[in-house]
Amino acid sequence: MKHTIGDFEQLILFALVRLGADAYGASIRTEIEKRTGRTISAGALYTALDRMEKRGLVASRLGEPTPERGGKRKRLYTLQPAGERALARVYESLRLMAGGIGARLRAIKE
Amino acid sequence: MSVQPPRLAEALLRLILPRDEAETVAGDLEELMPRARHPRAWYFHQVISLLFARMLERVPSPRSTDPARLTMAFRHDLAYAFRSLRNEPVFAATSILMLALGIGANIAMFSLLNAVLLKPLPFAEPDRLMLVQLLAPDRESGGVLAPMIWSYPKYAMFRDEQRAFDSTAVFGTGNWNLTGTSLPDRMSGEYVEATYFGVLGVTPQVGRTFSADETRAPGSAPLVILGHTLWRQRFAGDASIVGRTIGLNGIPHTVVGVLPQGFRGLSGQADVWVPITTLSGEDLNNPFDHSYNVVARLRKDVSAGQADSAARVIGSEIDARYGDPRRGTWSAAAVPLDDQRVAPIVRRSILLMLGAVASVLLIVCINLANLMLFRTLARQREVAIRLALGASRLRIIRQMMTESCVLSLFGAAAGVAIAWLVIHVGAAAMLPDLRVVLSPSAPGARPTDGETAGLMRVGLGLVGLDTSTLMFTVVIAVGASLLFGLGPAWSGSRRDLSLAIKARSAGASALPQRLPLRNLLVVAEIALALVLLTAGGLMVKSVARLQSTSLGFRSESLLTFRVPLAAPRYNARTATDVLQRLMAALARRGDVEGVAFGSCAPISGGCNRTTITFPDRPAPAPGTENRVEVLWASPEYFDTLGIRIVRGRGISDHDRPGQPKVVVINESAARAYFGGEDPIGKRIAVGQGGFGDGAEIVGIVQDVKYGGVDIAVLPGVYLPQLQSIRSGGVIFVRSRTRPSALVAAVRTELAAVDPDLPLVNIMMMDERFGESTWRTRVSAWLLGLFAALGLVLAALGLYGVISQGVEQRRREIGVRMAVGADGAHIMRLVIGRVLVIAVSGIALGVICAIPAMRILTSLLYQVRPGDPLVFSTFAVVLLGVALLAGYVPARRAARVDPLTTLRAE
Repeated sequence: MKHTIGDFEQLILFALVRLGADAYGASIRTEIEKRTGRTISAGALYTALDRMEKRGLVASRLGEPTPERGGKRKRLYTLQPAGERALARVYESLRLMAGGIGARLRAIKE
Repeated sequence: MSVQPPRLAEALLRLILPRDEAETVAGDLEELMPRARHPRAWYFHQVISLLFARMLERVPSPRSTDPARLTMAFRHDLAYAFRSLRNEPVFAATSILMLALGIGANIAMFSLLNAVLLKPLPFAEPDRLMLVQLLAPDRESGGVLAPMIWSYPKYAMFRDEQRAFDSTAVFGTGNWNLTGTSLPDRMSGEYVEATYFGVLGVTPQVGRTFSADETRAPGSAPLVILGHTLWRQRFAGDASIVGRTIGLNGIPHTVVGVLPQGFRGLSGQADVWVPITTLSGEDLNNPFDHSYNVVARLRKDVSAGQADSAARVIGSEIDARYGDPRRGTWSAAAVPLDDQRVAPIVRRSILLMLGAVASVLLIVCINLANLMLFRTLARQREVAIRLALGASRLRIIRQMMTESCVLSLFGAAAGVAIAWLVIHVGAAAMLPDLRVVLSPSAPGARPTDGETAGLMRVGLGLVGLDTSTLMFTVVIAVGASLLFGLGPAWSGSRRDLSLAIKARSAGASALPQRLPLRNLLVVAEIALALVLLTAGGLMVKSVARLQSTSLGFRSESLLTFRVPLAAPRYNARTATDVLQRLMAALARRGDVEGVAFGSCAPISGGCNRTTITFPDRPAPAPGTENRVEVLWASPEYFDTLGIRIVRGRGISDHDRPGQPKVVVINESAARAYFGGEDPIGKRIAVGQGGFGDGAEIVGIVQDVKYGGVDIAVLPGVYLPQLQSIRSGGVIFVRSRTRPSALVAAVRTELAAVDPDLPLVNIMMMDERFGESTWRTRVSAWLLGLFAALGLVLAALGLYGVISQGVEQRRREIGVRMAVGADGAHIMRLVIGRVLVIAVSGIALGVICAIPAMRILTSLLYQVRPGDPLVFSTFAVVLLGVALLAGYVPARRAARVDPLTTLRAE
């Protein structure tokens, strides 16, 4: 059964692709906030990651502790094939729908 | 890293997330935190958002699965809740105030419970610490084994044979005069075995503790370890004190170390620690001198139960070696130290108080539930429209519950402030130290058979608001909001309310005129209030009984103190001489009415006990000996204390060594041992004081309460102090003016006799009385306060329901009046309803209170838990208050103007 993914989840998946091997809670938040300007609450982020892990879209493992986080370990996330497919589907439909109107969309001011 | 994450938020995080996840999330937050403008607030905000996300995840909602949208919905609800509460400031303020009182009282009681019963003991791995007790057959009730303290030889046998513990330590309490300093002082301390510090897991701050060799055999070198407070106050925190000597009872002791701050030993009040082997061989080699406690650290692979069984096995071996055939078989047992930290009666009082405050909170919740119910009625139109427009019922409930939670959390925040205030004001207003109430026996009491007196005293300093108290606060706040919010939210969001839109426009309420649920709630709260009132009433009556109890002596204007005349500086004879000189000097003063010596002060925990025999009667069978309290008294004793001589004479100045031995007995002894006979001139032999060969009874005096105000008087025997030399005891000074004015004079006179002697336990007799009745008075005061709170809240609840009823039925009342009913009739109608509710509540309360009050039995004094006077008094009081609360709305109902009401429709 195919699941749809919400726009917040899409942002997270995009961030995972960008961050590659260094994707964990804090870096994902920073990446999304930096690129979109959107503020993200901890509650929403971890709940979404949890949910996507349960659905097999992402996988996680424990990483090494680093001093700037009080010696605490990281939970590193990687994109799974199902997640890649879901993201590709989303991107494909966006691309198809937005084909040829990119300039007009960019011109719209919020 | 500049900013540390807030500890409370971190604790909360660990609470809501599984361990691994808590670590990684905390790491993420810590990494991002330095970038936030207000890092600590930001951290809190993140944790709270996680908490809500977790909670919302549990709520199934078919429409919104996107967590971001759920958070949005929650924010919306929150904003809505704030708006609607702001629009009803009176409702919001009343609710928050009531919640603050209810929750604050709960927090205050919980923090006491936490300090006394829940907080881990302040020792390393406290759950592995056990108290090992000797079990002795109880003299009074044959066959029953009662816990008892150890003699050194018995302990040595236990120590050498046991395998269940890593190590064991014997210790006893003692008092020392600190000598050779400008201000002689009396210190409490402990005699300990070297293992004591290792067992408790305490390491010295300076220097070292004792080595095993230093406590191996009697006659070891005089060493001392200092407590932190003593070190700071008397030795200016100077680390070079180690290696120097200080004088204890005039003997130089070498200081070997200083313990860390806060450690006061298991007695809770030690300032010095001395090797137990500095005691004399006589003390240590006597297998029947039971004076010491034993604490032990459990081996990691042994359970408490196994250790207890092992102790019992060794106990029977101890009995085989040091048996006492007259008393039966001895044994030993090991109990977790944690179970011994407070006397059962204190534990019981605290749990009872917690029950009382929980009832108060329940009454608050009932009141709020009623208010919320009324609000949902007022909002039924709004709800009906939202339901009609497609809102789910869950959505409506969620929104109403958000309001309840907001109210509750505000109430909790104010409650924390109230609790903080109560704890701090209470701590300042009450005794400087809760030890008096929390210790198993009164201060100054001697360890008697069957108890570990003075062990584990908990200071008031432990009471405070800590993380577990705040957790408790959150739990009861959320619990309370569920309790008062869920019912009204459930019934207020019913689909059939959609009728309300139509009904309202037709001008009448579609709801049933009477809401039986709300009336039942009020009945329940009146019942609860009655239970609280009777509990408070019974305690207050106990206090009244205590206050009017005859103590057997005059307690006013009486100053008492001790002068410890310790060996080796003093022996029995020189000590008595010093006392005589001091007493004579005091008696010469104009502001002193009388001075006397007694071995034991009234109402302070009891005196020495011994057995008496009668030369002219057959010897009693083992186990049926005549036990009496024995006291040494100076000739002026009865006169100075105002103890009435019933028959014969008191003790005279001529009762000295070489003269015929005489004793005075109390009325209880005369009744118990002589019945109808006249005891004067009879002979008895007393087991102590060298009176074993018999003495003549020359007088009978009035019974005096030596144990405590609420402790029955035992048969007692007074020995003349000058005939059976005794110097350890209390000096009583009857003052012509304020006794406190005499303190300075006593110090001067004492310094004139021996400048190295400290003054100990200086106290007004009234203060001893206060200490003896402290627990009962505090219980009565608190229960009375909670009962008053319950009464006011129940009255408010009744008032609210009746006036809302009147409001709702305004139209009906208008119609009735229009067709001829007069004001008095309407008033009777309303008052009738009040009476039905109040009487049902009182009846229910009586039914609940009769069995509930049995819990109080052990706390009451000369009052039965079913005392009919208390029950009927408070039933009448409650009825009166209920009628008053109902009268106001009833009068309003009687003044309804039919014309205005009907025109308004």
